[in-house]
Amino acid sequence: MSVAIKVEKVKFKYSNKTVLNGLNLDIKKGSFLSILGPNGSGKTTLLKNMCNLLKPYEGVIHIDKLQLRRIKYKELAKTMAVVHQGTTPNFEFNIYEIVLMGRYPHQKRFSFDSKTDLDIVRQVMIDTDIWELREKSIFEISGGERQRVIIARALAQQPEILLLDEPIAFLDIKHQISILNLCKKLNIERKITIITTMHDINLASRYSDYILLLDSGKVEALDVPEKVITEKNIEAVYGIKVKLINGERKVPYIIPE
Amino acid sequence: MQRERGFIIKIVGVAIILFLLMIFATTVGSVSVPVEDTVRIIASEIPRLGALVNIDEIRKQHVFIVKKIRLPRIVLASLVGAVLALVGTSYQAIFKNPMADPFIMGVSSGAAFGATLGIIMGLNVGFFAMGNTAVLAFIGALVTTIIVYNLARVGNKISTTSILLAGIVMSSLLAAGISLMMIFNHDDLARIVGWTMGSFNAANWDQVTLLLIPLLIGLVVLVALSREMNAIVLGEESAQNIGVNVEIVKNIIIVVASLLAAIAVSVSGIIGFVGLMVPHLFRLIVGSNHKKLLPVSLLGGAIFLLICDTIARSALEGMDIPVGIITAIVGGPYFLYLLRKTRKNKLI
Repeated sequence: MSVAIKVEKVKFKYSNKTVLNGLNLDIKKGSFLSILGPNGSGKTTLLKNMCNLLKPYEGVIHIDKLQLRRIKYKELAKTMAVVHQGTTPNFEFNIYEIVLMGRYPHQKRFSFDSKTDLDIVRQVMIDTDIWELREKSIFEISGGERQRVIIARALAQQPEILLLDEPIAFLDIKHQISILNLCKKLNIERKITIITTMHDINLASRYSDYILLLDSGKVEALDVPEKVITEKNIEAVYGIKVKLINGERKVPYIIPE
Repeated sequence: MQRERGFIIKIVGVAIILFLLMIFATTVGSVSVPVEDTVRIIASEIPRLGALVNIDEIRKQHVFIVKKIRLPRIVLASLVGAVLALVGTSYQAIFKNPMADPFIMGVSSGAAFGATLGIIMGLNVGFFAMGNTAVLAFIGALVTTIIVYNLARVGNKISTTSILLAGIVMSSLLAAGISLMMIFNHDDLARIVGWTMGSFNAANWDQVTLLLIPLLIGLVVLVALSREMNAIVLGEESAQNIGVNVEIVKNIIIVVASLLAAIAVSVSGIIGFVGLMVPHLFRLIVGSNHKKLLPVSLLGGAIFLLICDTIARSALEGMDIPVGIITAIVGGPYFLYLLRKTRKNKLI
């Protein structure tokens, strides 16, 4: 299988604090990867390095064999879309306008929105179950709906890779499941590579093909869930004792002792 | 598509309102010129149509008043209003702050400092349509903006907080300088204060020409960047991730908007409220989509300042009130009302 993102010996620091300490990573095309790790382990920083918002001071990142820092912003946006942690906007837009912004990398300056643009926007809004909300203001909808809007905007870019930064934080269990189901569906039906940071270990094991366990800016483990989520690994990284239940499911499930 | 057509119709509608208001404003003033005569005088200036209109019977004095005094002033006030609103909208977008105004980067205090210098020193640096005061105001505005811009820039990144702080500190410094000059030059006090309150009483056609070309260029550049502005107000990181080169876009907008603001301030003095209130008002009506907001604000700014200037020159018999006073009196309470009304269910 070919590689979607290749991270080689990446180091990153904020002023004097080293956050990523020589990371090596191959992310397979079409896979669903969750990045786990305690607060401050470098999950978000890694994600931001992979989407060119932050630049490593050492090492290189390749997207589809191209060096990330050589790719133009617009070109990158056609391959990769990012869903950031939810922030409250200061300015009012309706949902439709926001999703339409995702067409930006495909549009020429001074051009009107083409029929293709509008068709794609309609389709991704139907796929993400927000078509009914299109006239509503971003201020009027719930947190779960807002997350769908941002995912729809990302899908309007028609990306091959979708990065998500804690997409289910601050959502109730029902919305958590529905967002993850949506990601899984995109992953299977559209072959979009999904890379997401998360805090919920159990949900991560259930939905992911692979789990990356980060500890102080280093790869502690990267493999299928049943090999990464072990009592030993969790204790080493999080410093808590857990019990593993497999039950009838293949995926591991942990409960704190 | 349907919605876009509806919007274009509304824009044309607002433009027609502006045009009618301009004609109406031409009839207002201390010397009363009949509406019919006014329309005929204006029509006579329009190519082709002009040949069909006979203005020989209208009193020469009226023709002079309409053509040389009222019309340039009306057009200039509308243009300055349009520029201020356009600049305000753009600044509010790139600073992601609905409270930003055209003077945020120190344009006004820089211009006031330059103008004050021009008034007390009586320098002779007039250029084209700009008198000494205007030229020095323009230079002051530009130099201040460049200083603030460079203070706030690290590499090619611009920090909004640094811009705000640098702008405030530069303004205080310059205000101190202005006060100092005023203390030592009592005779010029009235002129300095008068200039800083803004007025169009010396408007002429050359000033209009001077402002029209930059306005058109600026309008094209800023409207061309409306998609980028939309993306930026929702967050710079996500804007970059949908393909916007955020730093380049911000730099272009700052340079274009500051130049426009400097030109406007140098011909009109400091006119507050237009650039802050008009974009804010129209954001409540058409939303934050800059494709719509920029053209609507531009027309709205023109209408607002035209109305204020018409009040300024006709409210008191034989006296021209500085228009900055009118904009504050008209705009202030309305703005506070909006703030109260909208704060209940929204963030801004």
